[in-house]
Amino acid sequence: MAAHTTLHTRRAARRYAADAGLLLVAASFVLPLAWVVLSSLDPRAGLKVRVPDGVTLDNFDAVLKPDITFTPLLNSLVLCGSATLLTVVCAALAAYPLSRFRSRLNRPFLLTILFATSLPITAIMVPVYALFVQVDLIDTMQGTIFFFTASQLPFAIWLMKNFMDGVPKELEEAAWTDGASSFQSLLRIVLPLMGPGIAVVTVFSFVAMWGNFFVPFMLLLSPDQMPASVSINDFFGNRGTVVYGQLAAFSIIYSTPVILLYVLVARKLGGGFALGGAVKG
Amino acid sequence: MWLTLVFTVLSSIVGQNTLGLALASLMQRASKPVRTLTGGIVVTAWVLPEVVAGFLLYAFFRREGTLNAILDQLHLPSQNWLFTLPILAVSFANVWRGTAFSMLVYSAALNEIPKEITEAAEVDGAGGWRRMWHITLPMIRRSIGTNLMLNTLQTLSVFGLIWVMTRGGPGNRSQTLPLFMYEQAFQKSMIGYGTAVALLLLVVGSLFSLVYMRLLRTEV
Repeated sequence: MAAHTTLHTRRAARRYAADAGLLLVAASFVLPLAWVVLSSLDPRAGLKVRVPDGVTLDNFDAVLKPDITFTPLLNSLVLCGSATLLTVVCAALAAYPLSRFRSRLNRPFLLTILFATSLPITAIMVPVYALFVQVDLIDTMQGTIFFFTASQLPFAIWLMKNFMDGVPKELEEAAWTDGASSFQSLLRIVLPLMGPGIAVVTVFSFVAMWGNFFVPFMLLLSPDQMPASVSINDFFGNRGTVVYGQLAAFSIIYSTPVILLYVLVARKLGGGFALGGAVKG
Repeated sequence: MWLTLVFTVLSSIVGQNTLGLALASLMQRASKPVRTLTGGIVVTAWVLPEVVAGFLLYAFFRREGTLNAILDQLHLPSQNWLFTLPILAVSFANVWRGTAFSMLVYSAALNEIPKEITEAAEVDGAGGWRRMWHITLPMIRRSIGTNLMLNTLQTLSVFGLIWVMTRGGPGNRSQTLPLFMYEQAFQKSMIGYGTAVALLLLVVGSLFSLVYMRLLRTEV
């Protein structure tokens, strides 16, 4: 009995220690986040975390104008939306044969994809820039969309294939017996059954592109085509003194969609959704 | 470019990896509300767009920023971090942003260790550190490899974060390879030289990538 109690208290003590440690880390992680939330509501925001004297929505008011917020956000949406759509369609079409048919080329193909997944995109941007200048795709939306799609595809195919492997083959065989072509069975049977998988691929691609700064920064030149990830830089420099309150307000508006998407998917599929198919170590 | 090395080792291998593992193993023991709260905060830092994260930490490290305010409260000397220790500041920024990934990988890995094994070791009288060293670490060896590899690759290609915080400066004291590449290719208009740097980055990346593939090989 005594031994049992000591073990019990020891466990409890250990839990408090763990709690304290975690809270400490959480506190240091939360400081920058607190800054952005508090400053966006503060009429005289500086660089410090502080409780605002009065809560105001002026910062949001000042930012919510067509040329500051709506145009860049719309650009982001067009850019990332079309690229995501393209990515998902291509990934589904590519993953289907990889998942369903045995072929001698499967393994080398998958290995190549895996290899490409982990290459740093940053490294190829200078050559891509030079290439885009030559083929006249520089500073065009469609060029950037194509590049986004291409850069996201390896990972998307990889994820999609892993999800597709989880759909039992018997259902499809039944459809084939009934005379469905493989395209029909992909469209009518496999894809509807892997709804969560498609959601993950979609959200993951979209979030990755939404936050990407380097690609549009290099490939787009004219200010009216810039997505939010690049136009946010205008708050620095170009407008003289930095209005930190507005910068914070814009950051919040710009970040909200991806956080919402993440929460949505995480709720449905549980914590480490992005890791599900990709890096089960 | 030894700065790239410092940045990668400091922020990816030491920072993200160790902190991620520490967080994940603490989470195993902590109570549920604390676990949810911390997880939520750390993951939020990860989900935020790169540029926004850059601004937040820029504000944090500036002379008038939060860090110095805290140091003042504690009566410790404050300084302009982005000027005196820019590489340290951007490394911390990268840790802040990237730890969540390691934490998720390790949480998943730790959950797969059967309880019986740790309990058996505990009954045999192994203390916390010995259990960690002899049982937990060997059992999640593969996850550690995978995670290190992905962290390193991701850290190698960080551009936006550093660009927003310091533009590689002051001088070139936080200029990692991607920023160096950008400067050579566009600000100095030497596309060829920039491409050469890009190639170097790509070679380093491919080496890591190959190692990573070997680790995952059995699963393909």
